[in-house]
Amino acid sequence: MSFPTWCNDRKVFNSWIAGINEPACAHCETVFNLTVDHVVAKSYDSKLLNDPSNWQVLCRSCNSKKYNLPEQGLAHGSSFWDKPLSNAQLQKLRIPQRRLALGKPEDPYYSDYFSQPFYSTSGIIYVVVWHTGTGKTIGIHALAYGLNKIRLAALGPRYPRIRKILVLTPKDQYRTQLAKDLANDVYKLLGVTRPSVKRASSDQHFRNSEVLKADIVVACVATLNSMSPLALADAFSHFDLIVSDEAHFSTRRMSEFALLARNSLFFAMTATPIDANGNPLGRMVCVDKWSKAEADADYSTKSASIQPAQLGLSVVSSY
Amino acid sequence: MISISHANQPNRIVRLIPVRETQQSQAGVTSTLSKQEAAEFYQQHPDAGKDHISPLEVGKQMLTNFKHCDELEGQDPSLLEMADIRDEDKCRIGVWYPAHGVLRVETMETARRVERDINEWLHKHRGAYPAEMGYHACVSTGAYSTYGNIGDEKHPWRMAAARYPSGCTSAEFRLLHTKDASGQPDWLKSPVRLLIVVDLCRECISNRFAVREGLAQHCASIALSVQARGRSDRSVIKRNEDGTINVPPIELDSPVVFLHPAFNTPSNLNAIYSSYAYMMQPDEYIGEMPTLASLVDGQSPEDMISDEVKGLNHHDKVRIAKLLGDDMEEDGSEWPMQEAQDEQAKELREQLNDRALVAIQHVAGERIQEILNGNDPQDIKAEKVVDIETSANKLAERVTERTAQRVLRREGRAEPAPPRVLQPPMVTVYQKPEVTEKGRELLGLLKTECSGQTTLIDQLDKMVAGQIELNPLIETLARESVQNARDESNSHQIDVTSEDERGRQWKAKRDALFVGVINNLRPGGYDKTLGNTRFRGGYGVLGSWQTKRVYGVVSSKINEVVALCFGRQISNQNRVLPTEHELARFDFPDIVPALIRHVTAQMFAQYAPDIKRGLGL
Repeated sequence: MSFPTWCNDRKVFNSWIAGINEPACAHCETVFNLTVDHVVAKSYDSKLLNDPSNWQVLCRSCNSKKYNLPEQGLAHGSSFWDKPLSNAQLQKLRIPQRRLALGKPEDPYYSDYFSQPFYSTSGIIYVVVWHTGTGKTIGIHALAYGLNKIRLAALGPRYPRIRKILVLTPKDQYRTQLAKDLANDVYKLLGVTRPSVKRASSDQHFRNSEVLKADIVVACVATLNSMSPLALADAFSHFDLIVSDEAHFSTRRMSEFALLARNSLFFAMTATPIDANGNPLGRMVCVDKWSKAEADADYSTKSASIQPAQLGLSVVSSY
Repeated sequence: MISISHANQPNRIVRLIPVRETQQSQAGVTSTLSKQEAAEFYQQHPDAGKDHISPLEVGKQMLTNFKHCDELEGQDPSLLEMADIRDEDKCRIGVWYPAHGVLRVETMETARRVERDINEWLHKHRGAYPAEMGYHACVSTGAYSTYGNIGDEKHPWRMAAARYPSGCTSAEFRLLHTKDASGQPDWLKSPVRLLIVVDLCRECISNRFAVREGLAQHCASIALSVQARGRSDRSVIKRNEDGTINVPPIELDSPVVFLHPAFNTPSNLNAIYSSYAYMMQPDEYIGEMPTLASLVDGQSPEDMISDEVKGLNHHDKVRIAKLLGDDMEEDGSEWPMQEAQDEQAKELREQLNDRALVAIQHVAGERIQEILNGNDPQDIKAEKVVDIETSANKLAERVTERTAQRVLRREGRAEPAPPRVLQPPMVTVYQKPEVTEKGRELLGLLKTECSGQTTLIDQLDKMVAGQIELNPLIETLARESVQNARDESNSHQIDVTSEDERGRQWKAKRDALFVGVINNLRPGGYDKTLGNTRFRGGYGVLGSWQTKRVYGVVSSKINEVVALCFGRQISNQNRVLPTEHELARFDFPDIVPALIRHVTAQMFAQYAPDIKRGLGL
């Protein structure tokens, strides 16, 4: 944090900053891009300009949002995923999607764990292991609906919840397709309004206010690879939830991203959190599973009821 | 039911004839071999399976299977079998759809060759494989191939499934078929049922009409196999208002993997079986993965750090090995070299594992800190420098003079390279002793249809004058001949750039007869390395039906081809490049008409005086 230009007394500022143990934003708790804010705005009372008791640390984003209003101006606004889904809408979802949208009521740990502050649950990749083609696009929305349901019930609207999502795709060519699906599928299936979805194809887009206004930003991992850790952390700080689609790609980078997203939940969606030899990938915590055998029960998959072990090595079909 | 089917009948092994052995595409040559004979064959032909014949066989078998599935429609449902997992009280057979399939091959070059051959084969058998039923193969190369974005629902391979998610009858499917102005099927707008890919159609791209998979590549990764198999796992069913469900018959309701004997390797089979095992029971693989319960019970993320080694890079692993080695050296302990059955060796290995874990945790901890701090520790940098020096020394042993010049130029220690000038088309002569049987056959036809020199010389004149007449026979002949000539060309190439030499060569070949044009794409295609001139361009061919020899090949570089076809040049400097879509036109089978019309006329117009003078005309 640099010396502010409006401050007249450098000694007072230095002593004040030395007294802060770990500078972080008083609102969103990020440690990047920090500024000094006046609790009572200097435009209201110029005598409080150099009074350290009126100072607080805010990040630049929160400071801008606060403007010259008192701190209530920073109350977290509404989110696309605030309104819980109705029963009719829930019935349109597939079983695992419905499970996530309801906040996994059958899991005694899920709601308690994700009611904690984001910074205390960051640094870990929470992986959703669903069978391929199970509807992970809608699943991202279902995940956000569920998390907001939990956090609103446990903490109330004053506390941070899922307002913006960053979706990471493994390859550039899937970015457009996924952005389109994220905007349209939820509208077609559930009849809700279309979320605003933007694509980020360069590091500059993460500094573009138009892009950052969107509910969902879709970016390719290759885009993030060109960014420094500091820039990445800054970019991640804009999002409450980061979802990596097909996270079995570049797992090492995913681990790094999870560590850099200090104030966000980092989820991964993949059917295969395993390496080429079938060993589970590291630094991942499984939060939901949906196998093919379970999917068979709702007739949504083709038949594969025979166990592979029964096939032997020289099976030849009748065709 | 999962079935793993060999591409041919049981107890038969396809005998593979590599292309370079026969110099022609002997796609249909099969014979019954015993296992012993097959083993000997593969010992003698280690490249079997690397050519295009194996995937071609698999592709044909898949198409035959599609036809078999099509014939099921209209049969009495009571005679058809339902899949095991379907509840007979709740489900009844009543859904149909045209089976789609993905053929996975090793390289893009193979994919293109297989696409061309399969489409030619289908064209010859249109009675059995009608175009309206989508019997066509297309290669998908990536985001924007000839057929569009594979992720787009309008992609020919996904069109039917996107339009009719609950299945469709043949009559409905035929409605999707569109024709172009000349009445031919427009495959960019019509459904295509066979997709040939190298590494696509794994993540993010599903097609529920896909029910057959042809495997003609090596893939030992379980993760990739799950992603590949699972893509076609979505069922096609129709829920009725009375609560019953219409399902397809078992043939359309169970995935089948077609596996060619050349790819019937233990690693491939293991990946296939393991992928289904993983899909059915993932807990056997990821059961030990931490859950929220274990986190709440006190397992901290640092406890998972032992798995972090999978995410560590090469330098980290080297550091782990170094730490472990130092530790062992201090203790004077030796690396256990005995068999695992030995109890003592087992004990040693367990100790070793504990030590390795300590080293891994140390390095992983540093790695995390490094990520958080956003910089590399100094010791990593030092190691990197050492590594770079070592690799530089190794490289220096292999470096050629040309590479050295390039490196010196880059460092400013040598004269800059002369500016690149677009060279005029190079004229080379390929000598070929024999043409293939196919060539002989075509030459015979050519002789019947175009008897005498006059016709073809006239044709040459017409080409020079721009009055092009497309002769499919000549095209085919040229294609075959150039393919053969190209395969053997390098050792027989004669440079005739000098005027005298060229005149002497042309004079000796005054009975040159046929003229055709072909493109020449090198492996790798046009998608990545266009700027590195992996294109070679087009060929004009001169040959004789009397002596059955290919005499002249006039080649042009891609720069000229593009310049002639699109009116602009490829250049790295000004970035004026044709789009992939435009360049896709250069590939078979579209390349031949395009080049015939545009390039040949231009090239022969330039060289016609030389050719005629050389021929003594």
